[in-house]
Amino acid sequence: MIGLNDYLHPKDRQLFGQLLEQKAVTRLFDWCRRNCLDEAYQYAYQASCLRITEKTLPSVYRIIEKACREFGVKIPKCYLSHNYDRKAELAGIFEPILIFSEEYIDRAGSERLYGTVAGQAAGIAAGHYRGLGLEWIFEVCADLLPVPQAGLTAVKALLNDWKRCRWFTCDRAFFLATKNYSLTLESLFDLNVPEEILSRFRLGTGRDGYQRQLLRYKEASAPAEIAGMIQSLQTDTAWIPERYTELQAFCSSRLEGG
Amino acid sequence: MRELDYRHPREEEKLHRLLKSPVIQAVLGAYQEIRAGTSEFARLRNRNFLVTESSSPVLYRLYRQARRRVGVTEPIPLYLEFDYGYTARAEGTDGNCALLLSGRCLEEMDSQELLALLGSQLAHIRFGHVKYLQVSELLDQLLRNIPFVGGAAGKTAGALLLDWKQCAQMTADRGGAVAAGSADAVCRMLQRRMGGSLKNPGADLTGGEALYDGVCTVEGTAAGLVMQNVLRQVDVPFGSRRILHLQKWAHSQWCRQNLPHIYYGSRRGTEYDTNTSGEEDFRQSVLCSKTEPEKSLFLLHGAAGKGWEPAMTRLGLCYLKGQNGLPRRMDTGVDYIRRAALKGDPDGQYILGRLYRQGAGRELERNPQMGEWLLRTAFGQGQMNAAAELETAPLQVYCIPSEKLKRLFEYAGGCRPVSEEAREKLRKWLWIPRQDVICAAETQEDADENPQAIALCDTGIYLRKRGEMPGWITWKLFLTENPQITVHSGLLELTLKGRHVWNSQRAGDPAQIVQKLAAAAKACRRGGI
Repeated sequence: MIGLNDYLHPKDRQLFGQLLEQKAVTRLFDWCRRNCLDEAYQYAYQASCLRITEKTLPSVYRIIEKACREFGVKIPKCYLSHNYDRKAELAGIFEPILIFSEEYIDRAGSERLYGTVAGQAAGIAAGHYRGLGLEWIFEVCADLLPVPQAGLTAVKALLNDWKRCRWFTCDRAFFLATKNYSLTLESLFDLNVPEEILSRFRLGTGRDGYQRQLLRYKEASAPAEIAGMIQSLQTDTAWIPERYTELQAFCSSRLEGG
Repeated sequence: MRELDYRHPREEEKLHRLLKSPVIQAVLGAYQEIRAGTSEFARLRNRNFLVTESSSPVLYRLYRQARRRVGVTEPIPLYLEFDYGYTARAEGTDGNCALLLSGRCLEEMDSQELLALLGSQLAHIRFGHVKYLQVSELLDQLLRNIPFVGGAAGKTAGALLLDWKQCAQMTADRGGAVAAGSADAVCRMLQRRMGGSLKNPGADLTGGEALYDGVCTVEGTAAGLVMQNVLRQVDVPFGSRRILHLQKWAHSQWCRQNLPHIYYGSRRGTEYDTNTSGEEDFRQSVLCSKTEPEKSLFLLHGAAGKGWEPAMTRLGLCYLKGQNGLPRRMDTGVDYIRRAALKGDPDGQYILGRLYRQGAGRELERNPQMGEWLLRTAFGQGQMNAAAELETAPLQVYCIPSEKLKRLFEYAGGCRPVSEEAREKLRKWLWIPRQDVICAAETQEDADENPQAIALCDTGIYLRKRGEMPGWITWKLFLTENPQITVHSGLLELTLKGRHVWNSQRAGDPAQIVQKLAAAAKACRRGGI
């Protein structure tokens, strides 16, 4: 079994810890419990999606079972959906669920799928679903929350930062589970780069737009650049070079450490 | 079928409740203005592919069948659109709408699932849901993009719409079952749309009815909002619940009385949902027909559903005559008999031949020549009763050269030679009797497992288009009915009685067959017609 400390990124740990310490967050979670929001959420998926079980999709279920055992978490409820743009998503507020894209399962291959599931299993172990659930509640129940919007500014800023950093943890878990460095790097660009060139794509080459994008994000000064930076804050794609760098550093340290 | 009202019993009540909401009234008013003229509906023709008999014959035939069964007589165009999902929707408003089907449905769904999908959309049209479904979409967009629209009233309206929509979709699911003739086809279609297009993903259906009533209809609360938001993200909101409801309806007494083929034919969720073969089910059905008539009917329908031809023929006869506790239903009976005949069952061909001779109302137009041929084919397979029905002696050669036939001979010269193996396959596929000599043939195969084929034989032309029954045109008919034959670049187009019959898609290599045709023509010229 892979321990939490083996893959939990320090920033993820720090930011998530700060998030959960916020009084507003505690109040929000209590409010969610009183209003049975998790039950409503779970039911909506249960009644609307096909569940992945030992009987319905045994090969995929076995992969999920293996990943969960590896990371020491209980197997969550897993559902199928049609979505070309997604892989596997962690959801839920108090009880995690995993939603898989049927198209991704079809094309991923067992090793890549295992790595993806391992990343999400690591997220479950680290409690990511609670943070993601919180973000979702902000969006859906904005005008019903028991905390005034002004009181949530700090929480939202923390949440935004943490949302990026949690991927560092998932990427590390992918590598530890598959022990396949190139596949792990490829997984960062899956769905962002055409599949036909995925295995040949390398970050940092002359035609790579990600690095330029990251520079613009980090060094934004002119109004247009700042507007671009604000937009980047709302997408994950701009964060890929950071994930790439972090992953490279982690893998190097593992390889050196043996 | 129009007189059958299979709506969900609470649909009307929920609609009345919905229409009392001031927000819905306001959105309905705005809807007319927003959707008029420059709407998606007005742009459909230029953006999408119109399905017609010549452009997509198989899909068009299925659509026509679905319309007839659901009871929609007004002309509603069907378009194909490019979409990665399994989507089907009605665009426009009640009285003036069109259907859109995604290309993926056509590529991956089987004919039963397509019938179910088309039938469910047609049921929406038949029961006047289209306007409110469009309003629902509009309200969703407003609530998503403009926060606090209508405040609490807006959220309440959203909950009421969701509640009505569930009932409307359950009604549509029933319409799909009526179109496909089976609730199982609708369940498969829904599962596929829920993410089940991978091999063998069954459904783990635990509906949770109490939770639905407790949470979904609580207006304006956080739980209701959460529910609504999640449901916007899934492909088939409450799909599992819909499947369970449909199964319950299919096994109801109402269905047993009014739609027995659905009642007995829907096996999912029953003890008859087994992996036994159609042949075994048929055998068991016969064995218990006296002692357990209900079970016998379930097994018989099951056997027919699994493609066992004798079961289809037997069931078809039961529905045609109203036997074994089943009501007399011409449409269902003819459908089963036709399917059995298409699979080559000699008894099915015999019965269908007789039906073609007499005609069967709206279900089957009288066609004595087709009837004759079917009887001959059945006789050729050992159906002895067919011999007594045949009006003419077996086979006379009508092969006569003429200006019109000359072009056919030239075309025949362009066909590839037919090997012995190919001849056998053609005989089976086109139902060509053993005594009839195949002079030239062409088969157009593509990714579809049902090829088009045409064979020029001593007695006439045998042909079969994709998804249809084989056809036979004698040379005598061919000459007297003024066929139009055009040949462009070696490709042949054949029109008979103003109806397009055949369109060759491939030019062949030169063949020696033309010599045989020429010799046959010479011999017949000596003998006269």
